Amino acid sequence: MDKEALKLLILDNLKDLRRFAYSLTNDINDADDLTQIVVEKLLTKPIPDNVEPLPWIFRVCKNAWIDELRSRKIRTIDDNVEVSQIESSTKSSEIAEDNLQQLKIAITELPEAYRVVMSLIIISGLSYAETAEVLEIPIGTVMSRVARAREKLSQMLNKYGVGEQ
Amino acid sequence: MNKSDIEMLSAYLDNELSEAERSHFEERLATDEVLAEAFTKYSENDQVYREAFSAIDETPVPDSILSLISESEKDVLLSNQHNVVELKKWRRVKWLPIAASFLIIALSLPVLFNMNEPDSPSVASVLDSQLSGQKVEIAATTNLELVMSFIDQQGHLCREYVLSQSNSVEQKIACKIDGMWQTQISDTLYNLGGNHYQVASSGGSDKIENWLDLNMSGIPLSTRAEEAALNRSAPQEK
Repeated sequence: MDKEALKLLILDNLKDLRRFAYSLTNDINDADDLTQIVVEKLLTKPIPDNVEPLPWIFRVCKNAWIDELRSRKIRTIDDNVEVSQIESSTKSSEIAEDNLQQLKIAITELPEAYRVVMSLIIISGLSYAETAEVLEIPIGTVMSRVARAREKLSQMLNKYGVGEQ
Repeated sequence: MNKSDIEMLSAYLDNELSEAERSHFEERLATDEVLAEAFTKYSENDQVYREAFSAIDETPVPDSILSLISESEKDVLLSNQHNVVELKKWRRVKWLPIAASFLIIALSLPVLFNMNEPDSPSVASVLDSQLSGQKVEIAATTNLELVMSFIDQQGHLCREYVLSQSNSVEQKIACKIDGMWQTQISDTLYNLGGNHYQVASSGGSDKIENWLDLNMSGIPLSTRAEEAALNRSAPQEK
């Protein structure tokens, strides 16, 4: 893929990439830092010929985030910023504030493997086949994992009483 | 609802069913109240999940990202050297500079060794109790730095750590299997000879990465998830 085509591909998917990065980091500034790292990596290292470009972009993002987590010297604050970030960012949303907070807590309690697969499918709109490529797991595993993730999230939201009027 | 129903419903929401499956499933949705209720709930949750992370759309894409994409090919190369916005300090702290490595694979060896210091914690006890990001002295010249925790494909809690001793630095991964930390892979990053670090051997530095690619499920645990996992797996007090 030539550089101009690659840039177009990145631009076309930038919104989804940022959202995915945000779902990994739970912090808008960190999400943009991560997105920048991903864009730099994509522009400087060619996409291998034998991979689908779209899943590759998200795989680079996931792996870059893993690298960042591994290089963090202090990780005790990463769970503390998220609620306020989400709260302040979604004032205009129609979602009830309480529900949103509970959802946010529930999301952070989802096992990471579930959260990643949900984000790729629900936020970034990837197919099961593309998600399987990103995560390098069988499609059947993607299918069962996203189903379990939804059920788990539903159970947790029930526990918090979200959606009950 | 059974597992199969949940998977079908999930695949239906994701538009992953064949025409025939979709048609059959829609017939069931029209008559099965439990399924219909779950469909409504899952759809609402999906929408809330989507909206929660779409919140970032309200923040403009930083110019530093846009400029990377809009620059000419030549400029992109230059920008990587001079023009990129300074990243936070922790982002510049990259993983230990692996010049080269010498691979030592100690498959399924229990992490049993203690450093023969009366009051020093054993590796296993540090793995059981400390969060990632911590550096713990386990002997006079031995430090253990916890890098991350994750769940492997078999559902075991695993931890990556770096063991620095006076003459070597090793990167290791241990998983808790049957109540015991067992080393899955170990890679010597440096051997120290005289006053200088010496490359132990060439090649093999991707082995840990490859192992992680094959064995890690999802991404590393968040601090909160790690804490919960450690509490669950901690040895029971007698």
